[in-house]
Amino acid sequence: MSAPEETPELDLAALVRGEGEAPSGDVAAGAEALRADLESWTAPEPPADLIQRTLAAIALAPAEAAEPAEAAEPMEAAEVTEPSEAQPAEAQPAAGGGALEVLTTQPFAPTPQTKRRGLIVRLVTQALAACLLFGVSASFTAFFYPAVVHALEEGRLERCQQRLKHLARALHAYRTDHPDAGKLNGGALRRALIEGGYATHEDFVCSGAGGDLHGAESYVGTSAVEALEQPVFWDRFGNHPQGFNVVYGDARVELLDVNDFQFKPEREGDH
Amino acid sequence: MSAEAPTRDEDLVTALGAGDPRALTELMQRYQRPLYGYLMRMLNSREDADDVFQETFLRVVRHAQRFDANRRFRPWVYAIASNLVKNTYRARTNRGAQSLDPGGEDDGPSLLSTLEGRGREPIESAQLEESAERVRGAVERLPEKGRVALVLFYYQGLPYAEIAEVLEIPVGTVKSRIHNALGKLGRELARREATS
Repeated sequence: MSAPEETPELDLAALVRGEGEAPSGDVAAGAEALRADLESWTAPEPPADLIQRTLAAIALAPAEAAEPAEAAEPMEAAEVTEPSEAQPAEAQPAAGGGALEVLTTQPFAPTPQTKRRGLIVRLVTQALAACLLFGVSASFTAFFYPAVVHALEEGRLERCQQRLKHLARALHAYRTDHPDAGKLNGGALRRALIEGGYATHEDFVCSGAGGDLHGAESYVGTSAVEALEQPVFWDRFGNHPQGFNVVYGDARVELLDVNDFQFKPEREGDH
Repeated sequence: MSAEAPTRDEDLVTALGAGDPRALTELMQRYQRPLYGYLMRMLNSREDADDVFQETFLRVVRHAQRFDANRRFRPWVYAIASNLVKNTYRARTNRGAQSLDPGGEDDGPSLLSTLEGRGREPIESAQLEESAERVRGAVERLPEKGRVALVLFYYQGLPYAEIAEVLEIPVGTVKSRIHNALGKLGRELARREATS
């Protein structure tokens, strides 16, 4: 956060309501103009199918590497369909306008009867539209449920990969600081990294389903590798439905299918 | 959703992060009006507002698991949307696109105000449009920082603290930006009036 700028001691909300004392003519004029605009402005109605199209865009969006939520750069464009011509124009209920108003009152000047009828028609139509919208939303939710679940699972997978990368770097730092340390596997390696301050307990908890199942024992690891191309940490069975994340000594991460996963490190006490 | 379904936005994001896609629909239903209104106000283009709305919720889904339940959802979602608005401005500049309300005196009423004016009596509509057009044009010509703070505060009704979270600036700076934006708005309107 930047340093605070000068803070005027004014009730800015009251100022625009016409209740405050403006310190200068410009601010008073700006507040007055804004008040007039606020009184006349009605937020435009979102398109009726906006939620459905957003669900579709989410379902069709390609999986991407994790990035900060407030990242400045735009992501790959999600598929966006053109708004349908059937979608309503800017309905403005507060102004008494909008597509429905046009349909029910033109081309004749409204009489009290037509006004009342128009109101009933509008209420009934709006109720039907609300029911239809709810039904369509529910249908779309059901239709895209697997896709949304898939998108969520992709997110877990990416977070897991970030953790594994971090663990590989932690192991590298540990081995640099302790060149004479013996080969460590599993829990012994985990304790050494945590106690040495190279990693935290949370780093060893997988973000996938395995995190709940295995806790800090979500990953299998070994320092008993000589080459950077060899795996140092990898997922336990059941962490992710898509397969196994494996990180190599050079912090490269790979998602392997269960059938590809053949590496079997030495276990302590195997010899 | 079940009877014990979470009702706070933050609970819904947590539920979404835990894998409940119905929470997403609920969040979108809650935010489609205010967020779409904000985007239309900032972008003045249905197409861009649609795109940014979709992209905002795509990011919400992607980052739901990372959402800190101690944070408030509304400033978070507005922060995402505001960053995307900034990107859209940048993209418009790059492709040389003009705003629908470029602010020229001879440009006539904007698409937004034209659409909003439908349904009113012609004379009343014309007067309102003329006045609203003048103010909206002046608001759109404000510097981006001040305009975002002004729109979030007055048109979206966000409190100072939430705007501070959205923009990642201190509350004092939020007040200062709004105050300065009001001053600039007044000066701009006076200048326009003097030259017309």
